[in-house]
Amino acid sequence: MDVKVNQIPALTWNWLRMNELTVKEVKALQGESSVSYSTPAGIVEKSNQDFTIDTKTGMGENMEKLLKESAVLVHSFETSDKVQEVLKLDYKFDGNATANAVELKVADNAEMTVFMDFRSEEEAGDAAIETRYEIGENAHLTLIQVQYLGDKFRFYNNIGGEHAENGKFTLIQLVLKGDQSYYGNYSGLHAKKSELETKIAYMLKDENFLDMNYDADHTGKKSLCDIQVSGVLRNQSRKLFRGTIDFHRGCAGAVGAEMEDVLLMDESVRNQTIPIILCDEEDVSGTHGASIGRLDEGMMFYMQSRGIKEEAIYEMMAKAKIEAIANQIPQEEIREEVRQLLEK
Amino acid sequence: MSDKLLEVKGLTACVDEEEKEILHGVDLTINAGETHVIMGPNGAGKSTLGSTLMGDPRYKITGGSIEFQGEDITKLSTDKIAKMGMFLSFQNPIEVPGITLANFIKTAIENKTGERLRFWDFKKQLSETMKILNMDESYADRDLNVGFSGGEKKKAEILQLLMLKPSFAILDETDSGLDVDAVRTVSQGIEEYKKTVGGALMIITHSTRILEALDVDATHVLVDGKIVANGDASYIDEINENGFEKFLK
Ligand SMILES: Nc1ncnc2c1ncn2[C@@H]1O[C@H](COP(=O)(O)OP(=O)(O)OP(=O)(O)O)[C@@H](O)[C@H]1O
Ligand SMILES: [Mg+2]
Repeated sequence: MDVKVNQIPALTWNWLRMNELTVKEVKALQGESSVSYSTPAGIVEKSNQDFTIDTKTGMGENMEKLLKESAVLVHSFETSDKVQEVLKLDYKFDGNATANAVELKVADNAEMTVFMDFRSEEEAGDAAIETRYEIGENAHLTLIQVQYLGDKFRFYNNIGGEHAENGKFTLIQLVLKGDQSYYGNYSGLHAKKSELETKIAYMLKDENFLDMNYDADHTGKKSLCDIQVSGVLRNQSRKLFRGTIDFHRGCAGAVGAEMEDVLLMDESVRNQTIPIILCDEEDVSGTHGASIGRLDEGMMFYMQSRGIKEEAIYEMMAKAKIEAIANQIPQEEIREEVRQLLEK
Repeated sequence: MSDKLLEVKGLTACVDEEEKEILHGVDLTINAGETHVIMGPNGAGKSTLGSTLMGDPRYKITGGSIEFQGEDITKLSTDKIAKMGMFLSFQNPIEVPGITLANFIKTAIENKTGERLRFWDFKKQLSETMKILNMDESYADRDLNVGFSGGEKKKAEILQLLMLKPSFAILDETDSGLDVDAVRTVSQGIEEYKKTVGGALMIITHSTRILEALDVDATHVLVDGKIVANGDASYIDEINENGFEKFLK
């Protein structure tokens, strides 16, 4: 079946064919993939038939429906403490069109850090995950996701959630390996001073494709969002980033920024960006910036003249981009894990 | 000491895209450990000669030969030529955003030797070498050449020379744009290279200041893509006094 996902909230004429994406020949999702973890003290785990958090998601309703049809249990992790220890969820996708459903709830004044490590046992396969979150007043949720999948893997990564007053969501995503990756996040910044901080880094090669849809939905006064996307494209790879900062009436004092930093290694890559700032409110500040670089012949010659071969130059540049984002992860053990993946 | 290191014969080269010939038949022989000076008016083709020896794909070799360490290198890629021991200090060093100076040099050494460097060994060696060049250590963590002043870029080139220890280095106007103190510092760096590595040098320059502390074995005058005169060190002073007029047709 074909499924439409990653639709931007306000369709535009300018990007007629990129307003959404039709994913072809999507497989029905079967059972749950294996995930191993141990729950740190202070975090309570529950399993439910359905999601208990009502929210939009970045990839949208069609993706939600697909996941719901798999009828997998929703694993809910909740805390009302300031939990320092990281909740680490190790996913091992087996390739049989698996689904996972997760809910993260951080009560008022609480804190939680979740690290999702996506790996696959097979070269090829399909996997989908939907994560919903709910962040209480003065609470902070950090979600770190690292994708390191087989070279023929197709992966759907859908996130959505709601913030209470002064509730902050930090999302760090590293897309290191895998063929087709579909990413989306929706953040409901409906309360005063609610905040979203997103940092994404990716490295794509061969025919890899990464399609992203990020939606910061501001209605809360003085709500904040900051979305940084940074990556490297090689060979025939392709990336499409849709980033919407949606300032609704009433979000006076809100500030939103999106920033892209892309390095294009080959002429044959395709790099597409749709930055959208919608404004129904006057007293807001929204900015978009982009820096798109190419490795020109002169730079290549300079680096080669020091005895570094072309392949190694590409690798060095790509790693540097990922590391710049990875170095912002507070936990040394996660940074170290990323470093090891980059050395592979 | 007459170990032939570099032998260039009848080298002609043109800009790859334009088919415009810039080098019209260059002959040059440099033995191991020797110091040669190339002088010539602006636009004569000095930088082009340096880049072409280093295998720059933007120049096409249309005739003649280049032998380095007894091997024909005209068809080798730049990184392979560098691995054999050739080094080029650029007239205009390139800015490389995203890669720190330290990371770049470390990667270069590891690529050359094929072995991983131990982090602390490398750090120590780097900071000692930076001291010789009067470079602030903080530059190690800055992106390579990005925002460096003209003089700082030239120092960073010599830093790479000292760290990579090539057997043959082409210095393309490493002394131009440097203040009095910086010329002295860079000269010390070059002396250090001579002392510790003992490699051969091909120094492209318009001035004599950088040569003061070096024993020059030969001077070549390049005019309009050709070497029109060869002489010893005394040539340099003569050119500085009388200009290139007598070599121009
Ligand atoms: N990539 C290029 N495209 C077009 N012309 C070029 C190119 N490279 C060099 N040239 C031309 O070839 C000639 C020689 O240039 P080159 O840079 O080698 O001179 P030079 O002797 O180093 O001069 P200077 O003393 O000013 O550094 C010049 O006329 C220059 O314009
Ligand atoms: Mg020049």
